Amino acid sequence: MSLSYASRNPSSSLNIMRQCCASLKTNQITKFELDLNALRARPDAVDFFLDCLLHLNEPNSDVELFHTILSLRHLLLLRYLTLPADLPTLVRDFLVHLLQTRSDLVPYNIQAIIETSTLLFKRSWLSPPTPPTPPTPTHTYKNVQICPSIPSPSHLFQTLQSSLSNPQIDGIRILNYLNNLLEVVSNQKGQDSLKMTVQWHKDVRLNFESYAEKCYDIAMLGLSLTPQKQPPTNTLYIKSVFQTLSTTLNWEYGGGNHFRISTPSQLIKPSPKVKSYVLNFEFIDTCFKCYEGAQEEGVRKEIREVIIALCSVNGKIFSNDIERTNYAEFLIQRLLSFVRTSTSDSIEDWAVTFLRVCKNFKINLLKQVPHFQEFMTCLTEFTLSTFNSITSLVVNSSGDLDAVEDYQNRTYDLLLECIVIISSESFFLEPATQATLKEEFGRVYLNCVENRIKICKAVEGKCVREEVELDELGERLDEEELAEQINAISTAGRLNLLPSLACLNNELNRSLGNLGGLFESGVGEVGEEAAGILEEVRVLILFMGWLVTDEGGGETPIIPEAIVESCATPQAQQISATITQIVTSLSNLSSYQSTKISSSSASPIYSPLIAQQLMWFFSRFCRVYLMPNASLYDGLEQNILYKENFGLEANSQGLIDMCTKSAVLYITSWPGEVDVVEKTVKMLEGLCGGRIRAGLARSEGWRCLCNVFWFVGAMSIHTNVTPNPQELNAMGLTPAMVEGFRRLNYERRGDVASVLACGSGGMPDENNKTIMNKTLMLVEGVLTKLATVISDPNSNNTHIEAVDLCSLCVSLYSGICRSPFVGIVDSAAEDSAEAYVLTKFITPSLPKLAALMPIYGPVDNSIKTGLLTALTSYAELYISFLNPVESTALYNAASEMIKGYSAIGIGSSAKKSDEEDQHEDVLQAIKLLTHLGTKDFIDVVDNSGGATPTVDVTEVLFYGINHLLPLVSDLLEYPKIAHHFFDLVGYIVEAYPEKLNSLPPDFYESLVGSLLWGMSSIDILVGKSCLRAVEEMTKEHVKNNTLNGILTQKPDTLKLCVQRLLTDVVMAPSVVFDRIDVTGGALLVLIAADLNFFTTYVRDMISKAGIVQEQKQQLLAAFEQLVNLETIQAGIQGKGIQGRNARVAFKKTFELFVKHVHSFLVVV
Amino acid sequence: MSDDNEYAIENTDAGASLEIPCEAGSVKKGGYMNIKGRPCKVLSISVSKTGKHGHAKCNFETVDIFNGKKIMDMVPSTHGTTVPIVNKTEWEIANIDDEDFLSLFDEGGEQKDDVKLPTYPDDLAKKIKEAWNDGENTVMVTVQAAMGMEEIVDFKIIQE
Repeated sequence: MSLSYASRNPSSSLNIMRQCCASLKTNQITKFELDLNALRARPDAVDFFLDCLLHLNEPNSDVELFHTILSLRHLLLLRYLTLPADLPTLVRDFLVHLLQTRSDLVPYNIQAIIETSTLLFKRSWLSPPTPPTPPTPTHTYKNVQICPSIPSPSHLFQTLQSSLSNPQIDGIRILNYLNNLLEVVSNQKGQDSLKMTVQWHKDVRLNFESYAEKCYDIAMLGLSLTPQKQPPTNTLYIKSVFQTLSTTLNWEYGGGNHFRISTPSQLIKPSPKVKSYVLNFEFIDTCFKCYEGAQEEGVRKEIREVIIALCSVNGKIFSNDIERTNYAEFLIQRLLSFVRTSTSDSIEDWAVTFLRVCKNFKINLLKQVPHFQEFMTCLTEFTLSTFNSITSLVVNSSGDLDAVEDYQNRTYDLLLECIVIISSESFFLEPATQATLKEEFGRVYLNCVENRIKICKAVEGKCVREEVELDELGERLDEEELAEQINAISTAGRLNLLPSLACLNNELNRSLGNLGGLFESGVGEVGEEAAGILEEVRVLILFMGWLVTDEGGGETPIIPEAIVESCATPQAQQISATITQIVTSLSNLSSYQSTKISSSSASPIYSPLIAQQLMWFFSRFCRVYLMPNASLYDGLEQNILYKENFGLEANSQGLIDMCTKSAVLYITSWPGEVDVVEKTVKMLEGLCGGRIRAGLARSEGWRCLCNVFWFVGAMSIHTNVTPNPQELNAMGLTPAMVEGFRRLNYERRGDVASVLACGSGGMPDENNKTIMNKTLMLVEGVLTKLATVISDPNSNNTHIEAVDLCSLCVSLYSGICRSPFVGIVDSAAEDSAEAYVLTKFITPSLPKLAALMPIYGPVDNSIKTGLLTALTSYAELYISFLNPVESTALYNAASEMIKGYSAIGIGSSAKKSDEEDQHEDVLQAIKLLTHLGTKDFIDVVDNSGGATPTVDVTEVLFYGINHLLPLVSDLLEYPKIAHHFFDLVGYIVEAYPEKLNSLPPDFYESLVGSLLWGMSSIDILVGKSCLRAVEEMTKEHVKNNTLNGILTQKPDTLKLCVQRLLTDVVMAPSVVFDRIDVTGGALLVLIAADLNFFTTYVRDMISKAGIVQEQKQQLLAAFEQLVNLETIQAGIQGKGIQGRNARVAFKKTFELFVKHVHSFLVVV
Repeated sequence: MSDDNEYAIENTDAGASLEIPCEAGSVKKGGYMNIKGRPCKVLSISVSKTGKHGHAKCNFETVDIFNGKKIMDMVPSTHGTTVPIVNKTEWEIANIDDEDFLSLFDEGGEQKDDVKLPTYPDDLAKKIKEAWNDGENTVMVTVQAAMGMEEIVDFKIIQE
């Protein structure tokens, strides 16, 4: 290639460059940078550096060459459009030429050359060089013959291929060139320096895909040449070959970003065009052979990357299942021999290959693979050996978890994921394969139980030995991690249920024997050994809990299918008996421990964590296994699990008695152990569902709980109620129990109130009616006493004791208000009068509760939050049951409470805290309004009751928002608050746009202001809520002129919406495509509302935009195309399907508009 | 429901005690508690335990409400603690004598002569004195009382 360029005296240019770089040698970095920048700023800078590039070919000029290349890259990309069109092309090709011809280049110059040349190639990819326009001749130009020209991408690949075949040229450079080119084109590298639009990058990438086969050609050629490469260069060469293969294989077709570093489960979908390369057994075999022969870990790592990619191949590249099966079989066969002999540093990669195989081929296909059974055995062995080594490391280091490398833990997790995938789809397998699977994975389960116990014991031993103080957060994280792992392995445990249960039963019997000895020994302190025993029991409870029950959050708890099915097999008798044995053992432990702590609660040997774990277990177990609803299962009534375990009433009373008795003892003996109390209450909640409730009233523990709740409550109301041992004894209580319950946190006392109401509510028998009545009377009694204190002119309302009474009162009401309405639902058919007992009780108290806000809200934040929480829970759970009178009472109370709250809230809540949790009160107030808003919806839908509240719901809602707005505006940066607030505002504006006209003008303005803020929020949900609200508000106005009144006072609000929507949403550099649909909807109605303003504003915006004239014209044209009056008119006025079609059409056009505009405006 | 109420209602007796018992787990952040006889404001609360199977302990980080010193305390969950009854009252300065004792009187005309200028925060006494020496305006002080101690904690100038 020849070029006319302004050559000066080359030796002068070189001298200047050398002088500049000389500062580097003397460490004068700042001087060097200043000099180099001055050179880059010269008017003839490009010519100058070009001169240097062409003539810097003597030894010891590496540094000068490096900075010359970088400077040229900088200048060429910066001035690309103003330079002669073929100048960057010349530099690009000359750099390739240097790569081919100069063997003396140092590595950093090779890299600089490769990166610069590939970037320039990408820049010119879509626009081939145009004839040169000569620059102003400031120097004497002369034609120079420089290097062979590479006029097109095809020529580039041809050049690379021939260079690779040429033994005189270093193949590593060529492979690295291709590798780099792939990275640059896929935007993994150098995207920022090109300063081009998103669309341009996408177009280049799509165009590049047509050369995919060329990339494979070169990479495969590189692979075929490996035998010719002799040591010592062969290691680096092979590494480059596989690096290039890996990048090529991982290319993501269809315009996405290709990935090299990906998630362990990521699959890849190569184009069918490259089938002959990828689905080539000879190629796969070569990869494995190379791996076998490779000595250096870096090379092996690269080959493993290729193998991982091969295991992830998916999609249309396979013509049919037979092809897929054959491919899987070939891969698995090769994999097995390597994994068995893998070294420690490669295990994570092999685990990834296993996971990719499991995810990719699925069990339905894998079962046809002849080596599948071997694959399962290998997976089992791999998992066992990994966990065995983790265990050894922890045990040998005396409980130091840091002794285990992160990659080992990750490997184990990956393998467990494989096991879960296969186990959960095992029903696809033939009986023989299933039997093998059961056996193999059964071993993994048993191994996991054994090793996990060892690890936990060792770790706890270390904690005790070193007196480590555990913090709540750290412990919770550890627990979650452990639970996740046990949950995963339980899937395998259920495959072969009997051995799994038998293992747990044996281990439990052994460790409970040790625990019994420990409890009886009277040891005063928890030493290392004692801690080990306690930990062993705890872990076994966890394993049992996860084995026999599912997490099933939010679902109706049911017995896991695998267990029901196992209990219909010949082993059913043994399985059922073992479950009963284990549950009985744990019941005995709970009874024993709770009885012991009732007399010596401070003894350190009685572990609160064991109590917590037991309550966790029974909470999960009871709600599933005690008297289950047989209609949820097929043939459960014939199942031994139902007949002989705890399905029938006669079999379950014992367990209910134990649970309630333990619960009351745990609560009263350890009121300060928050976690134990919480888990206990949760367990009691579990007993309040379904048919179990009937058994509650018959249990002694439940009666004790009621008695202690009532007695201690009475002590708060009456100064003359004192614990009398005889009287207490008659109630099944002791003075210690009363004292313990008195010490219980008020919030937890509220929980107990909730449980008592839930457990007895709606039950037809007298026993339960009494429990309910006495509980509610007590709660009301506390409020009445507080009212007396408040109305007494001689008493100090805000005295600490009065505040304390108020705290108790609010907690108890809060408990009743959040009492799940299971009782109501269950009894609705039996006794509808009882069904509404709670709403009848709460309604008269609502005005009093609201009146507490202005008195105690400013004194105690928790009272303020508690009052709002109580009303929110009540509204959430009971609003659909309320009749008009009760609804009115709720709306009035809510209005009053929010009014009182807003008056005091500004002082305390508006002070921003670092933690969102500190603003729970604001959140509750927003939620309260949201729940109140649902009533209108419920009543519209359900006309059967004919309930129409006498208070206008919308007035309450707008009134509430008006009061909350000043409080919330400073807190909208908190995601949770912002979500709830904009959900509420969005809903109200959307549901009642006609009401906006009658709002106070300033409030209307603030409301719209908050929508303007929210519509451009980075939070997608917030943005969507606000945009939808703007759309509905404007649509209603366009159709019925609903905002005419308010717009005369605040005429600019809709204009502001247009401005904000265009500048901060539509034209924002980081447009959010997830909400493009709602943005289109909002824009449609805003255009329709005031077309003239829209047109004027758009023209004004474009004229002021800092973009070139050509882009301004493009933008204007795009807007003109978008605003199709016919579509807009039809979208607003069109009825039914016609209107909907028009709106959909506009939204589609709008999406195209945004994509188009951003393709030439947004530069990355 | 009220008709069936078996509990008679009595007035609360605010009493004259200086503190009331409270469970460690019930003390709130931002509230008060006594540590070694000193009334303190709670800055933060954390729960910890020694080993997984240990009993919970509440760790309090507090500040003495009279001298501003930070005090840490650890209370096992099985133990209780006490909460001081803290009262704040407003008084007008009638005089400040040479020994820094103040003569104060409240809205009802009640007099108080046993409070000295505060030693904490460092510059509060100086500011009160300066405000008082200005002469023209009324200076009101807030007297905080807890656990038998009294101290001026704030002041304000009422423009006349």
